[in-house]
Amino acid sequence: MGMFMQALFEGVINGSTLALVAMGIALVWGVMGILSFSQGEFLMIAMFCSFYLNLYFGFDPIVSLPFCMAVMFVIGIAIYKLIISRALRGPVLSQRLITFALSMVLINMALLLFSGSFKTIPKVMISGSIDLGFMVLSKQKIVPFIISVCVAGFMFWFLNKTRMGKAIRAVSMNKTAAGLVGINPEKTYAIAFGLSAAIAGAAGCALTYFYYIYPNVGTNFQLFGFIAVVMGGFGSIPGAFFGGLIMGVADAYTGVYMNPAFKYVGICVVFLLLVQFRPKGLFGGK
Amino acid sequence: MGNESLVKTQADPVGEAGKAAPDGAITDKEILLEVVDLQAGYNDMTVVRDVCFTVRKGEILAILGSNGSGKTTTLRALTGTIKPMGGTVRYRGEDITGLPPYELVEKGIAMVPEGRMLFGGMSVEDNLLMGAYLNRDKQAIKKRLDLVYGLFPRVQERKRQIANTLSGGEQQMVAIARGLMSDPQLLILDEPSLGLMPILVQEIFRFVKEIADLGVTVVIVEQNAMDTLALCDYAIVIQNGESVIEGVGQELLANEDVKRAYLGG
Repeated sequence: MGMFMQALFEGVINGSTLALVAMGIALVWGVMGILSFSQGEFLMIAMFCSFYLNLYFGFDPIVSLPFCMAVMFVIGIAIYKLIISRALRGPVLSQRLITFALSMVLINMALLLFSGSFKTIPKVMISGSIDLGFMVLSKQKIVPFIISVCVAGFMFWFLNKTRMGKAIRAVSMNKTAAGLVGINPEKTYAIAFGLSAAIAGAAGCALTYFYYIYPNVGTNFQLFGFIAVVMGGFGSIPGAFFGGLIMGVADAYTGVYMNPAFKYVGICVVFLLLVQFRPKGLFGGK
Repeated sequence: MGNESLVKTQADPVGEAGKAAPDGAITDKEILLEVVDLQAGYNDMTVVRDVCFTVRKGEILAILGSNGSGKTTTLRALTGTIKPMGGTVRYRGEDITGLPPYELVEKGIAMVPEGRMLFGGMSVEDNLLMGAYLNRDKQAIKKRLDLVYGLFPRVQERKRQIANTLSGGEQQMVAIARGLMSDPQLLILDEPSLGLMPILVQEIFRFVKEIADLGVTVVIVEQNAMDTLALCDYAIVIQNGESVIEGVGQELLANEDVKRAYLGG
């Protein structure tokens, strides 16, 4: 029982980061039909951002969070304007691969700037653990989880309640109709891309609470984030969120009950099974 | 701007004089939309070669033609969904050729696209509210919504329903209602009767008439020539991407040659 709960806890924690990465991918795909392979690298950049803010100014990642998100939002919009918007006018293949190229450039730029060594934030504001007897909850891991849930909640609120959020949803449902009611698609694309970078940034910043920081850190999150998006139903943002959590939990259970070496097998088996029975994913309609 | 569009004579308060003119020359109303030598197509294929027409304030103009004649392409070019290859489109004397659809909405032109194109995952009411996207005045939106619901009671009954789950006729009504939400001067309807059963077609056409009675100018593109001619004030027929014939709706309807040649009568 203790083992079971402990693995669930660890799984949900890891899953919450995946969930944010996946939500960004789902958002960008739903709105502009771009497969965002660079989501993991946005996470990585935010992690370095958080690390250096801590190193030079002594900011706790919680304090850096709004700053990291703002920086990533601006970077996201800049990348959209400079790269994505041009690719959207090009052939489909370049639309598919552009972010892949971007991710390689970002990883190698990070290697050049920050070197490949592993970094961690030595001391964070909230640490220690809660011992429940049958399981131990690390406070350091709860913080990123709470942040992830808050950011996801904010995203749902933003998309459902605000004018811009509704415009983004309208564009993702029907681009032509959105134009016909007066929505400027180009503007919503830029905002959506910036937003997806910002939530990846939030995930990255929160992750620095207990995770080590290095240029390739995003690759795994990116890959599993993708699987989470497919599991949730491509383009569905709540689906991506729950897909991410399921991935995290599947990962933790195979690690605990089978062998940590098989954990990717576990994830992929869950994925294959789910796609067998629900080919459109958990929340995939029609 | 072209000087012909500046010649605005006083609008006839009854609005009947123009229609009564035997030669079909309606000159007493303000020109709202003017399309001159429009050319458009896809990639390097020209579909619309030479389309000209004028829409006057308050009238219903029908664009007719058989399948593949270039009606929808004409509309797409004129509403900025595709870039025109040539020609000009003027709205109230202002050159609007190739402006994107979202800028046209701001100027008072709304388009109800072929195939409804609702926001499928949203409720009916949210769809309508999206139609008033550019209006930030909550009070005005509320009033507009009430007006539209007054026009379409069926839509009001379904306001909580998700748009995807409506029947085709209801979806078409929501699409038209959404178009009206932006308070347009000019409403462009692309094949509103497509895929509907005859009784619903009659209903949709009745709504179009009611909308026109509210003072909204309507451009309607249709394959259903007979019903549309009976409804519209003025009609043009497009064939092979060219506007080949135009005239007062009732007259075209009475003209056997026209019927045989172009309208599949």
